[in-house]
Amino acid sequence: MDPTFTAAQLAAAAEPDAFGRYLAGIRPAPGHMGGMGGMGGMGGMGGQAGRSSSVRTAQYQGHRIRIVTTYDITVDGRALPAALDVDRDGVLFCHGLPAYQFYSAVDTVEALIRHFPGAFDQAGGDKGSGGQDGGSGGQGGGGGGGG
Amino acid sequence: MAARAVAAGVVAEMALVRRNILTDAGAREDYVAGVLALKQDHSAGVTTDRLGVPGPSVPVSTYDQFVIWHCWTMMTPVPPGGDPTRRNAAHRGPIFLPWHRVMLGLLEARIQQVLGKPGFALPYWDWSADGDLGSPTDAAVFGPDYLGGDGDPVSTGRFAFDAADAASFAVRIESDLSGMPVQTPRPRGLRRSFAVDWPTLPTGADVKSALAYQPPASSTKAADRYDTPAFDSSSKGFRNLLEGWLPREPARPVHLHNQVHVWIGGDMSPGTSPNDPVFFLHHCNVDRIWEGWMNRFGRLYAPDMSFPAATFRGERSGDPIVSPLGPGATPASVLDASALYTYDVLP
Repeated sequence: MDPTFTAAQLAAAAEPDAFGRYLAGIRPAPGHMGGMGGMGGMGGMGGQAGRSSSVRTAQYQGHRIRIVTTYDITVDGRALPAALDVDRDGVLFCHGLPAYQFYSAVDTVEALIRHFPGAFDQAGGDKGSGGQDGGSGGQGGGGGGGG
Repeated sequence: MAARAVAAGVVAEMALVRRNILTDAGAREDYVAGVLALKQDHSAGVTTDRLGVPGPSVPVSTYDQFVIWHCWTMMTPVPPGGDPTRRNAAHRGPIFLPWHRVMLGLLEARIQQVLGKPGFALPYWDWSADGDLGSPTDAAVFGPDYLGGDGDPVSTGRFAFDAADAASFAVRIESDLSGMPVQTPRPRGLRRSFAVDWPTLPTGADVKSALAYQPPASSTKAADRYDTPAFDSSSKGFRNLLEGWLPREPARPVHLHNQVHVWIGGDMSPGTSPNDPVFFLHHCNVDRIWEGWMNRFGRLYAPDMSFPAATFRGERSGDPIVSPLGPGATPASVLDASALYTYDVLP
């Protein structure tokens, strides 16, 4: 076995001082993922709140395929402070619910509202000014239940 | 991790045995006590601002540091400069199993330290046994003597929240919509919502099906059984079946590992899922299934270092795992943990 995965190594790394120092060292730079205020710098994601784009590429019979999927989502008229991504099979994901996959953007946003009600309560002043019926998005494949 | 035995002046490391929490009351008691102790442990003097969590600077317990570690690893893209939503240093790729093995090892070691019990071994929750029983929301593992039950907040067992008791189990770090760790407005209780987002737990048949996965006849590499290009949430192989992204069925979008998170719901849903102590019992079972798979097919891993760094750096066999163990801890280095621990039963 490699000597890095031993009881002694684990014990040393688990010491609170060592672990705390390590964690402080890996914190992402401010703005890395944006948080509630924006999503700039989120890898291949678009940089505008409420709008996210994902790019899929493939090669087939000598042809280069490139598919850009863009979601422009608002809830109660306010931009959704989270990005949706589409994987190679066209399935939808959101970092806020990392164990879930969806076949509908509406299902995705509904799950976010269900799991993060406080984030949408903050938009209460805008309730009624925007369409709550979803309807937008939906490019990631239709039907199916959200996880 | 490994316990020490002294005989005739010889100190030897003995592998721990991780057991089913339902059959080992001692491990259950130690685990609950260890988690509660780590929740109260602020010995490192670590604060939220030092760890990059926004808001006022407040102390972060050792337990909550594991929550933040999970979040920050999820923000670490594979490859560097990529999109962590699509592939990150802990999920949605072959690194999923090695990274969580290291995380379990560190928690186990820290509980050993805080309890002064070097022989402590993490127990596991065999959720497929409860899946075979029809996914009861009153399963034994969620009884008052174990992890407590359903609710917002959880109100039974030793992880129940009492706002008047500073020593009671409280959640202080949670995730926002984009997966960033943030402080809760005030300490709150643990949240679970059994069977709301998905009605069932995985079954024993589901586990057997994943273990029986065979790569296509055209496959030329033994490690294709573990994972294959593009080494992500759509790739074919045992890892992706166990992580729970496959098979792709619109009527059933969750499987195995993911399914357990979704069935429990509440604090097990976002990237701060280690907030729920059941997280570590769940992942210990995932690790056990992986060990069972390696016991059958060999300690296989893909991708190896022949795959280009520009696309796969961070998940190749010799790439460093995002952990405090340093650059020597790689997927290849953690495949064989038999000197540290074994399991009482392998699937």
